[in-house]
Amino acid sequence: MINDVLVPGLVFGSLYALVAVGLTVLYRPTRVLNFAQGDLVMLGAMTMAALTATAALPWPVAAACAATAVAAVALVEERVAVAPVLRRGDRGVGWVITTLAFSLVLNQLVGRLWTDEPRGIDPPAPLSLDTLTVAGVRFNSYQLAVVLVALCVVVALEAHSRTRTGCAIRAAAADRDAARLRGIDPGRLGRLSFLLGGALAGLTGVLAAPLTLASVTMGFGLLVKGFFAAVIGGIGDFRGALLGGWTVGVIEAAGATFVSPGLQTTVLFAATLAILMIRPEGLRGSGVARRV
Amino acid sequence: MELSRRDVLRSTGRLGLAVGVGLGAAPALAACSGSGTGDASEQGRLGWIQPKTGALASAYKPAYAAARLAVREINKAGGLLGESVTLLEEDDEGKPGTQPTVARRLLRKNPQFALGPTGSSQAVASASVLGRESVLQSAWGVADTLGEGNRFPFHYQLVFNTRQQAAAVARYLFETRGVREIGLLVENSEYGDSIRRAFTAVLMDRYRTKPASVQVFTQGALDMAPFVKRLDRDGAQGVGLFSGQPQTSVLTLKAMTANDFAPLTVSHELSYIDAYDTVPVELMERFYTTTYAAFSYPKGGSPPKGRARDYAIKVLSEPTARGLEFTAATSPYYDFLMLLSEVVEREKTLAPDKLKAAFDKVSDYQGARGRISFTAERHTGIDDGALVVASLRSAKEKQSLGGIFRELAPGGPA
Repeated sequence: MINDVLVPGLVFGSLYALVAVGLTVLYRPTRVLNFAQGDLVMLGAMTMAALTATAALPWPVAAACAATAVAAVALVEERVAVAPVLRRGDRGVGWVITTLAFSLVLNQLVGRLWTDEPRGIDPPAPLSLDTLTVAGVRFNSYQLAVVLVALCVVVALEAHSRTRTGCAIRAAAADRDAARLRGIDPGRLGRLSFLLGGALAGLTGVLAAPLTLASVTMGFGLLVKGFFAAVIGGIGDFRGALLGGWTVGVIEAAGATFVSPGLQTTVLFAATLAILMIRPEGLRGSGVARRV
Repeated sequence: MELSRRDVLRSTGRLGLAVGVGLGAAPALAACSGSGTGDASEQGRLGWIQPKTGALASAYKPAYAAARLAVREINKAGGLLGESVTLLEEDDEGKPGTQPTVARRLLRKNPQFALGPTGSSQAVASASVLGRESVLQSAWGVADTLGEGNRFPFHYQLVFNTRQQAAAVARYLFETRGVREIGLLVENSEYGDSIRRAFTAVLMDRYRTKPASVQVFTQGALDMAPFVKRLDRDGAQGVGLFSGQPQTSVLTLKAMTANDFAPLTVSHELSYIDAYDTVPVELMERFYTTTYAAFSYPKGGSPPKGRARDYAIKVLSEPTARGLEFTAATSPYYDFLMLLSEVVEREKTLAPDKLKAAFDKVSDYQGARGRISFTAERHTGIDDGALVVASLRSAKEKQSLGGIFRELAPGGPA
């Protein structure tokens, strides 16, 4: 049970949580769900693979470069695909098409740059993928690090949301026009959030690569599970994203163990449906009354 | 009967109109009759379906390297019936869903024959449309249904199919290595579905047994450990791993390593050899792949001189094959185009109907990858014995010529 469900559930759940956290970072000030987030994650992994293989950069330097590069791409996305749509009104859903279009553009780009060769990335020393057994529980040091990083990212973002900028983001999320009247620039917050969300996506790709391999096709699967995590946890909530990610991971692993590995996605769909029927606003979301 | 001047003028005008319409309509009618006529003065128009955009564009490029080589060779030798081949290139983005649109776009350019697309799901979708318009086609799809002449009368399969692959893998595991508990790990695609049915049928019909475990994974699966654990739990001592996605094969080996599970494994052709560098040697020594007998050599030997070796050397010099030489060499397109060229010159026609009749009678044509024969019902040209199981590790040896040639697996045919 622990080795087959909890360990893989928490490890992969942490990756899903990081994708969900990235989505949340972008969603809070802009109310935009970025459909290109999976491709940004893939771009981070592929950039990391290229930097470690060809430039032979040390792991932390390569990881920082990959995250920065993806952050820059995310900023470009915000400028060309999101900001123009939001300028026309923050209640529209034009961003669904524009972020999907940006995702397609990224796909074209990587299709020209790389083949579908899977690229392995070693974990940074002293972490390793060698199996450790502690009190009958089998895991490796890198898996432990992934779980801790996800936890630390959420703690840091929760702390940040209590700062002046964090309050401004909440204000912009509640009402962009009212926030503007209070001197807050929602456009600037949007740019900042895409920079941070992009860097997080890059970091997620870097962290995922030693476990899933870096590949041009890895983005879609992570995006879907990230959406599941965000919805189950309650969209817009960092702790909810983490909880949602872990829940998705554990349900998936339990489905593979107790039902069938081939039916784990079906089990996940069914469980998500059940959770949302009981708590439509997600595990940590709260119902919002809107006067119309 | 009296004819007035007015009547004469009217009759002459009608006759002139009729002649004029007749003359004008003749070329239009000829054009409407489409590719089916294809007379000798016509130029050969080859539809070319290749992913030019999308995430897999670079990965698919080498699959067409040998085709480009063939077109150059055909044109250098005088083309088809004295005219250079016209390429009608279409981008299918590597997706099954785009195939009907791509095929219809291609049909507007009026091709007599077509190569591509690559991938079983893509090939089935494309052959259904192009076949209805009598376009002679060869796609790179291994699903056995693509070799059924009754279902796809204008499609010719010049690669081994899933039935042949299942038979070769089952024979190696069951007969040669004596494995009785064989598990299956397949992707959920047209290819995966086809090989699962074929493998189960072979085990049942030939060896009176059934798979110890059948695991179907979704394409793009991020973690193969649950599938590997289930195979282990179900007692599989040998595994047939059939995936068209390179990362799932590597992830499977990684999961096997992490779970101390080292069954004898035979996999679909594997091109990215360097991706297996981190897999322990002990596991790699039990990991094999299917390939063409022409691209194999006995243990301790080296590739024999001859047609396959000459072809491999030509493929190695093709710039678009770089990095995926094995994929480029095993592509069906070179043999298809060279055979097409031979049939066109022999029959002195470009008409697909006549070419189809001639293709249906092809017997023992010596292709670069083996002998090819067709009948009206059997459009899988590759001989059953042309498929062998080979070592994957040997693809890193110098004598493998860039990984194209592979050493036969232990116990394989001499």
